[in-house]
Amino acid sequence: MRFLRNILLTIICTLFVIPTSWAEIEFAGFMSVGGGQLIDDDEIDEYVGFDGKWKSDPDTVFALQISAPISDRLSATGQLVAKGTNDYNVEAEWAYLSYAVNDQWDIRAGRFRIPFFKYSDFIDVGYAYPYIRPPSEVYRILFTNLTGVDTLYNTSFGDWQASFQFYYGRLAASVEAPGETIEFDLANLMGINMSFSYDWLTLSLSHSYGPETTIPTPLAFTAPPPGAPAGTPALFDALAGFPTVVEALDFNNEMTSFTSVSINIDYNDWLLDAEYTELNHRDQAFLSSDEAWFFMVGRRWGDFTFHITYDIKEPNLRLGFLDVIPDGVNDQLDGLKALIAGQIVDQEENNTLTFGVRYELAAGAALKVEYAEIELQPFQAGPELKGSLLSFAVDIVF
Amino acid sequence: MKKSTVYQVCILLTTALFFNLPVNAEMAVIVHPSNSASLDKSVISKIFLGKTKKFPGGGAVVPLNQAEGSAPREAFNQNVLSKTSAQLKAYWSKLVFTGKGTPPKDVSVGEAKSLVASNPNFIGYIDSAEADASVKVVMSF
Repeated sequence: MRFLRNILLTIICTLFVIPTSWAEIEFAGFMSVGGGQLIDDDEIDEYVGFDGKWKSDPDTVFALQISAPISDRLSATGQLVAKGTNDYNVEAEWAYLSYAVNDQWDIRAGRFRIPFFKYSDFIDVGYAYPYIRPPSEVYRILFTNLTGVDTLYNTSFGDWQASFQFYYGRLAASVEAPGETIEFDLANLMGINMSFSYDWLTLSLSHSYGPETTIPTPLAFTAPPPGAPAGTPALFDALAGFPTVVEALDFNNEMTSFTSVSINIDYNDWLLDAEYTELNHRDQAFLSSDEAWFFMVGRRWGDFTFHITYDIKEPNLRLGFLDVIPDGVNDQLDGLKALIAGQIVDQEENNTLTFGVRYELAAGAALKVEYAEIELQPFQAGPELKGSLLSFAVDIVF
Repeated sequence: MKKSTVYQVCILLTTALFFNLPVNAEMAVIVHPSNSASLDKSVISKIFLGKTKKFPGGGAVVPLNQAEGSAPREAFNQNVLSKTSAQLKAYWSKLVFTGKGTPPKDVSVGEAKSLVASNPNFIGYIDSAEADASVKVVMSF
């Protein structure tokens, strides 16, 4: 965080130091005001931040971007974003120095978006896409930014445009869990993002690789359960005879990877948008690996764009590591095995079907309304949970 | 109704239709007279969409747009770029907020011709009737 603050301070100071007579500082911004409600919430209490009462915060965002050319080749950019999901605290989602090696090649350093997904780079800019929010079963990764370096290279082959982005950096973030703050650390995170486009067709591929992902072991694994009788062993102590199980539950320096493949067509006012993604935690079982994809068909009629979108996420469970614990030795071991399996398979297979419309209010302003049918299927057992979400948003760019 | 009255109504309607059609003056894409780059609609689109930063001959290119919402801008968006102004706004918002590109600068109708006449790197568009020897017309639309 201190590094980030320093970068920001540098950028802000630079903005003030440069006489405005020879620096053309550019301001741009975007804003979304949204709102929604689960209108059929008997079974689902909460979805993408919305619940059974009208709420506006989950889709409301304001952002201001400041870009300052320092020289012909060097520029400084900061994007300050206040999101309803983050109590409108202003955060620098982007803060980087960019150096143009030539017309095709840029090198950037600082804080920027990790291009996990097709829409990652402009995920906050609702105006840039037909949805109120990109399909949420697919766009499921909590962490979006890292501090590091990247390079962008653009070229063309005949009528095809190609862009390549390589990045490297470190993602450190924290998540509040009951009773503790869990600090995630993805050191040496790196990836490549490629995009090929031909007039009405765009194909993209992104692969990210975090060889040294560390999440501190939850307290619940290393300490006895609160209120347990004296002498109750912690989970890891009880599993001391099964080191491979402890290893599989422990998340220290593990390899994690993420892949996205997408296609986007905008042909004669027909739209097709699809993305397949896969999250993979190797040698680690506590956090579920999963795959998710969406498919959208849309049609533009004048100022209206209609779309139907289906998205689905399926956990990719790996319980094989538990096989080393023999069944029926004693009740305690059987109970332990069931407890771990229960924790891991407590994942949901979710899907949503969304019907949406976007209306162009003006160049730079769009109104969107969406109705989504949600199905959450707990993996282990239990009935399927159904609900529906009605939401709207006004997105602008300026 | 007499036959002649029907004809009269028809003629009236047809005339009204013609007069109500938007009168699109022919527009011209212009460059500096010394610029010998061969430019067609596809290359001009790439330049104004930021997909290329050089003229086919190799010189740096700086596209000049007319004011947003102006008639020349609308005609250019529709006839050359084949996109609505909303589509273009969405296109640029993807690039601007990710540091991957900036849209062409806007200039006023009066400035376009004099700027292009003064600098071989510029490319712009004006009403064909205004084109003179100070600029070179590379395409009409």
